[in-house]
Amino acid sequence: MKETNRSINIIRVIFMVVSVFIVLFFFLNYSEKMSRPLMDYFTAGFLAETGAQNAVAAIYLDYRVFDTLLEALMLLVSVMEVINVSWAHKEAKQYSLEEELFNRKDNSEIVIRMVGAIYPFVLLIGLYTIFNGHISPGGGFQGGVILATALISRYLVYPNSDLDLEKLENFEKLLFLAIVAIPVLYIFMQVEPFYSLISRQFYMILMNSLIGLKVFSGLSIIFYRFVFYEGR
Amino acid sequence: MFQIFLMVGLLVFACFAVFSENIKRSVIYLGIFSLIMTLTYLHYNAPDVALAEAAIGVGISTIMYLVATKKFSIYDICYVNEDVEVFNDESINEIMSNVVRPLEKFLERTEGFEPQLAYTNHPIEKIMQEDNHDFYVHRKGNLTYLYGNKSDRVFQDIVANMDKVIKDIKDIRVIYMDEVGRSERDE
Repeated sequence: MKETNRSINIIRVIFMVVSVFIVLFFFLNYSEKMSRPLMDYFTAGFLAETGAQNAVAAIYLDYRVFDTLLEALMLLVSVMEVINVSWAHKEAKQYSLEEELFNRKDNSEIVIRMVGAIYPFVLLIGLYTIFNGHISPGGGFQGGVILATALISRYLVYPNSDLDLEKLENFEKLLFLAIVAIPVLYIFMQVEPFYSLISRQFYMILMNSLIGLKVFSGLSIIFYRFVFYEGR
Repeated sequence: MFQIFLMVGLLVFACFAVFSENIKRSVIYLGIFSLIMTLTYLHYNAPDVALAEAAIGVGISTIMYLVATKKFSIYDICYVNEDVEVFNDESINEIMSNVVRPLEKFLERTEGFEPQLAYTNHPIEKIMQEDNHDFYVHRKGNLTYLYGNKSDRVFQDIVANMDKVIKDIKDIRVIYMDEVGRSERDE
């Protein structure tokens, strides 16, 4: 590795100190006077403005949608990092149980039967949480985690890797593009066929289902990567 | 009042999860901790956060930890006592303080293995033929036999630290299964 020059290092340190001072100066001198508290702004007319009956959904899908975009990006980056780490020092080969197609020797019969019976109800409650996210507590993230729990409990019953993770990864990236594109069109550029409560609610449901599917695929990828590409 | 109850419950289950001897029990205590956390969020009027906590803390992380412990190394122990008519909770509680707990503690602290115990009153020859355990504790009258493999490092350590592992039992015979041939074992 090449040694960096001493003067370049000194310039770097000076640059960092100066930039820290500039940021602190602007941060400490910045003040915005608002006519009313922020809480009143968020809770006064959110139903008319955003079409969501749940104030939390109104905040994370409309008023502060920029935060949601960065959160979705964070999940995408962590999934990519997990994929990157779990490939390291490993052969590009999947561990799979090929001899025995259905390996239920280590699993108890009770768990298999009970998970099979609970499965559809978990899927139902996950979908309900996603589609009712703008009305009742819940939303895309929570519903996506519940759906991922359903897929992960499938591992307890059927511990073979027959999922196509590659497809799931591409699907997640496409979903992230959609999650970025739709708020840009709806909120920032205000491209709407007609501005009404119904079109706003349609936007909420669409965003919630996209976020739910993205969280679902991201958490499933992380889990199946750790299970089949790490450890014994 | 309800708040104090919730906070004390959180503290108690957090301590249980940290100080528990067994990893699987810790995972279950963590699940209960998350459940009380969900209740606390609901009490403070945050149903969205409560739902997220329920889905992540109780659902996904419990399953993830359980799968991870499944991949953890496990030392398989079989406790055989042919004199007992039916193996119920009472007969397990009898040996809990002098055999089971010290053995679990020793395996976790010094060997780094997760102990897994099975109790039975079937004859030992039958169990050895049918199942493949790492370590057998066989009690017959006043005598206690320990069965294991000489090549097994953990079994060697257990034999070397016998006074720590098994308390209050004086007559112990150690039998190395791979040294004793099949013909002698059948007798």
